Amino acid sequence: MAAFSVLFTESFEPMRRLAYLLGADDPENIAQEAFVRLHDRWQTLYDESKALPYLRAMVVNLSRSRLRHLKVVRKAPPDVVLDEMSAETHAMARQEHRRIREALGKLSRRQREVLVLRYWMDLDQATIAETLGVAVGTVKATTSHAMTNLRKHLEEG
Amino acid sequence: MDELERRLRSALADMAEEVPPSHNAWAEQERRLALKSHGSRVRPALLAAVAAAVVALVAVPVTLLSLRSPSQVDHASMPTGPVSPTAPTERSDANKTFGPTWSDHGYREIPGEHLVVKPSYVTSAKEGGNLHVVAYIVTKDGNPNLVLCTVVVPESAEVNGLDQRGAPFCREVPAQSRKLVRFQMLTPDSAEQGLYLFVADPKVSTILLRRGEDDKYTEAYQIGQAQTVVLLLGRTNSPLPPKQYSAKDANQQYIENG
Repeated sequence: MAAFSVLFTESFEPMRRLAYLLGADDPENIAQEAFVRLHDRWQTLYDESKALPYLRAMVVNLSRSRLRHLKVVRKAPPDVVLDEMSAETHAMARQEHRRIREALGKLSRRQREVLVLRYWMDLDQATIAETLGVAVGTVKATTSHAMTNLRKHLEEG
Repeated sequence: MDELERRLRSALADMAEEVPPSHNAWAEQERRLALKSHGSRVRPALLAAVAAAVVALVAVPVTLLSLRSPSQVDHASMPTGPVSPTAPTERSDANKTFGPTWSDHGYREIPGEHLVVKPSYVTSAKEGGNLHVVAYIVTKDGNPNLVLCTVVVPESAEVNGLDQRGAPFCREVPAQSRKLVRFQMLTPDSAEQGLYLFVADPKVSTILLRRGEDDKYTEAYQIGQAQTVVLLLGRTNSPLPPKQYSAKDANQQYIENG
């Protein structure tokens, strides 16, 4: 299990930040839970290189579940969560970043996911497709639509 | 890369930096893995117990009926009213401990104190130097009321041992409460702010907490358990106590709001 511990040390913080950027309100818990689930599957991962993609996909799925859950139970749409987080650091954020943050909050869940995975995690389209469980073509189209919408929201703002 | 992509990268990197560093993430992960493995060990035993109870429920009446002919059935001795439940008392249950077998801190028995929920790591102590804050639940001096305690001990040291730093900080859990979430306490001596311990009914699996300073939510999860009580830990990262809570059962159903 040394490999699991090494992966945890290397990837816990990035996974926590990924959950945060996806709009989850409790990124610490999501990253922890993703690692617990990875640990459950550890013996069935024939290749340890599969661990990180599994972890990324798990963080995305858990973040989705969390947002969906809050939306249903608390009547709080996911965008509100992101906006509230942005409000917290409003005073410190630069005006430019604040505008982009607000525009990101207006995108659909999947559009935000592809942008975060592409422009923060620097994943290529095939890896994003694997993480989200969609076709590469879908990633291309979603990225294009997301950038168009982001540009539109920035212009409107 | 066009201008918008550059701006987006920069903004995302900026947002990611806002996430505060995590303290003791690996210790927390080990605790979750230990709790999970404990749960998976308990489940087969629980299923076996349920199966045994079902067999007993079926087998005993069948055996009795086979021993007695219909004419021998004594109707006069049959209960005519509702059978009063013989629920175990708080005292007897509180004394039965079956918390997680994993604990990085032992407990040294002291006179007048009975351990109910084993010591569990909560966080690093504000003094630093590998000092841990651990939480546990006891009963004291024959009083059935539960008492939630925290204490600072060095890594792997036992509670009430020679290396313990100072006396435990203890608060009595109110005895009469119709609430499932019975008690809440801010963890003292913690390196983190807004770390709350909750004493709750075993039906409670997790507690969703609404932070005091805004409407963000965080989740408290179990760090210890006994037959009649569970101990949960929630991080609000806020100087204010939680405004609201919603307790959930193991099926993620909401069972209490407060």
